[in-house]
Amino acid sequence: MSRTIAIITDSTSDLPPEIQRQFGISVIPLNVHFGQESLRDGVDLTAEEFMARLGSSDKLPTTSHPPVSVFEAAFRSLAKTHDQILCVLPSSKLSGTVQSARLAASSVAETITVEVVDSMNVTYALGFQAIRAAHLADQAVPMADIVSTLAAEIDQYHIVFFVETLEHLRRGGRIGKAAQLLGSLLQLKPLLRVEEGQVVPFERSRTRSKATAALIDFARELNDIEQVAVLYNTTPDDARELAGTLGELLDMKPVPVVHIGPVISTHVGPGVLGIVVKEATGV
Amino acid sequence: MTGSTSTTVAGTNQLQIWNGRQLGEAFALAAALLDARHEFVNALNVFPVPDGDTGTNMAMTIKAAVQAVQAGEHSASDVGKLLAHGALMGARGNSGVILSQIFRGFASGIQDRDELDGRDLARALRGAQELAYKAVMRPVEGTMLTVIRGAADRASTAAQRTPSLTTVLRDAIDGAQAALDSTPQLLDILRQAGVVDAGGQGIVIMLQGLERYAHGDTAIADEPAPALGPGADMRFLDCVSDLHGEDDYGYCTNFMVFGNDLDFDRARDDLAAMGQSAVIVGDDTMLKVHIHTEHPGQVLEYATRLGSLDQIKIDNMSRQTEVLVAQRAAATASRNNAGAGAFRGAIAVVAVAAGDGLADALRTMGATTIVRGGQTMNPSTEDLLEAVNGAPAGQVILLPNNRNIILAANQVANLTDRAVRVVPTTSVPQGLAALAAFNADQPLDRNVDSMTGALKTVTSLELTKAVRNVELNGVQIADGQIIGLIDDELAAAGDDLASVATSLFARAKLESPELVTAFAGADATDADLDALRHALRLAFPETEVEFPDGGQPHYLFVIGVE
Repeated sequence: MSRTIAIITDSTSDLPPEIQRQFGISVIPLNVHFGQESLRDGVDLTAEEFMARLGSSDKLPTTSHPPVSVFEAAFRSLAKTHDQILCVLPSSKLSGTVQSARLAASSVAETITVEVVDSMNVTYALGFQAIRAAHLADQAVPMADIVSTLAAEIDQYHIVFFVETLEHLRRGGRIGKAAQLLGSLLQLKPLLRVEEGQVVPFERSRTRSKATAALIDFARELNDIEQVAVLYNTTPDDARELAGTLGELLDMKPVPVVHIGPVISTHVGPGVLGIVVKEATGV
Repeated sequence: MTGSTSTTVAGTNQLQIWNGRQLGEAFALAAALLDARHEFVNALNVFPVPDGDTGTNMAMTIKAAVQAVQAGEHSASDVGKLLAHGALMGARGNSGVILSQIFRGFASGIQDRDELDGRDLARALRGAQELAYKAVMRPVEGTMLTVIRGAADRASTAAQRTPSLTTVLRDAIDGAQAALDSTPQLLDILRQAGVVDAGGQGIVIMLQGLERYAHGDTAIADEPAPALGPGADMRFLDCVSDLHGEDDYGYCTNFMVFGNDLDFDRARDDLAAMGQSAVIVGDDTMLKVHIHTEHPGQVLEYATRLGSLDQIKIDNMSRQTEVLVAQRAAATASRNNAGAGAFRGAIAVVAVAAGDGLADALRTMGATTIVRGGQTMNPSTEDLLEAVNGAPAGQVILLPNNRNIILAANQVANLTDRAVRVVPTTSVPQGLAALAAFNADQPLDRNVDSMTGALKTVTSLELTKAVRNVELNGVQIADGQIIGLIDDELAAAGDDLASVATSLFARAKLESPELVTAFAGADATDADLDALRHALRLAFPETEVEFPDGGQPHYLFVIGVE
């Protein structure tokens, strides 16, 4: 590969290994902790293994962003083969990854130029953004232009999902404005979205089927969708069915079905179903 | 309140023309007559369910109309407008709203008139009829609409012959009564229940009240109402406390006297002189007494000399008044604080519910303000208006959560500068479904569309007890039996909760529902809960069930199925 700009994201992008290879994207793992035991997301355990372990573990896991040293090592390694490095990382309002990468960037500044982009997104929206950066880099677009393009397109990505319970988001401190949904007397499958880098309430639904219909309605009401993916963590059948419906609706096949990784699953809990869409540029 | 004494001077002072003051007094007498007979009208409710009582609603609406007329010299036109405004603000229930439109039409018919004769009255009744028909989206014959039309038609014919107020009024009453008698032929549900239309009966009573004034009456005698002769139960006396105003004081004293050869007329006059608001009915073997007095002991002392006393009930109205005032203040305060934790935004949602649990459920689903009321006490237009004006947003969505509150809710939009939309919810489960579709960040009308669309995603089931014997749709129902309703329609009845619930679920034809939310009422016992849980498990073994506490009166369970 003759590309001079290296592209880095982290494991919350939920990019599967084959996509990472195909687009030449380096993925830095976050960490999941079961008590004293620390595991690297996607390296020491897969999403499937994590969900199985989550079900059988009596202790709830915690997560941590990659230490500065891991970024620094990655930067120094990539500096041998690339002229510049572009990091596309999850919303700084949800993760400390951006902060960690910026510190590492300043400590390697004499060796290589590193740009850190706060994607304001997470999961496969972040994945789409990393792929977008890789595409542009392949076309030899200068790094500054890639950075400004990514920044301009942030609002074109939408993440909408529903959870079985808000408890995990609350415990992990990632609930943000959705806190106002807490305390409902009645069963709720709250629909949430990521907006300005934060988790905010979108709609309320009392059953999974209505919540799923709301996801489809969300996609239906957007004008021109370029990319779409379905997110899940414990309900593959629901996810495949939703992907089929969206594929028909948008005439886009196949729609990727993405298993949300351990770190995000820790924060949203089991039973999550959602979609990521990217609206067309220049709408 | 009903006047305590009667001074009938029938036939001696027949007024042929009314000025503004007299028009106001005439309606005050009509209000008193309707008040005295509201339980009689309530008893005509077709459905044997504890629901918004037509007689109570009409009596409270006309009372509000009359209270809006201040003392002083006004033209008939001005008094008409004052009455119309008072009725509009005080309108309760669908019958009350239609009645308020009757007042409005009446006022438009005597626009610019200083005085009112028979011809003016005919015009006023015609105006009343026209606005009454406009008050409802789809006018149905066999209702109070038919009755006001009967009155207006005959009044018009009479007015072509004579300007005599008493003659036109007499003919109007004949026309109204004939129309009322025809209501069972026009509405099958009335025929089945063997009653005439309750709202229409209210109109006839109101016109009769006007006629009594024209004949010189100044107060309503303590006469037994037609269906509630001596021997009727004490229930109507118990309900009187609901009608006590904020300025009532002393002790509301109720009791029965049993004796031989009672001198009814003398006893009534003596007792009535001992206090205010006396309602005394009976014959020579028994008396039923309701009276407001500061000295209940003296009243009872007198009564023990007549015979033996029973069912003595004394309430401290001053205390009740304090509680009432405190409750209203608390309700206003909680309205102002409501919605902390709910969706805040440019749009507020005002919802109606009875019962703390239902109110909390609506609040946690995003309602900003709860107006207390529902099946047994319909909030007035003014209650709803106050909540809308107190809501923390310029745009307000109203959820009436009851068929009998929708019309009053529709009135509110014309009375406030806020943008008000009504999503016509007929039950709390529908209200919750609508709230689930609410998103304060979306435009108002888009919310109304998606909330209205959400109503069909939920089926509302209710389990309550019949309040009288009736045969409906070929089903015999006895007073006190458990009855089940599907979206307000009677669907099952029986003595056993579990089996009524089971046939209710079968009738509802629900295909593998995902979620059942059964709000337990204030009267639901643990045994009732177990019975329903059992019936639900049989009917929907796969379905998730929640049993939140609803706290609603009269209805054992209000159930949403989605």
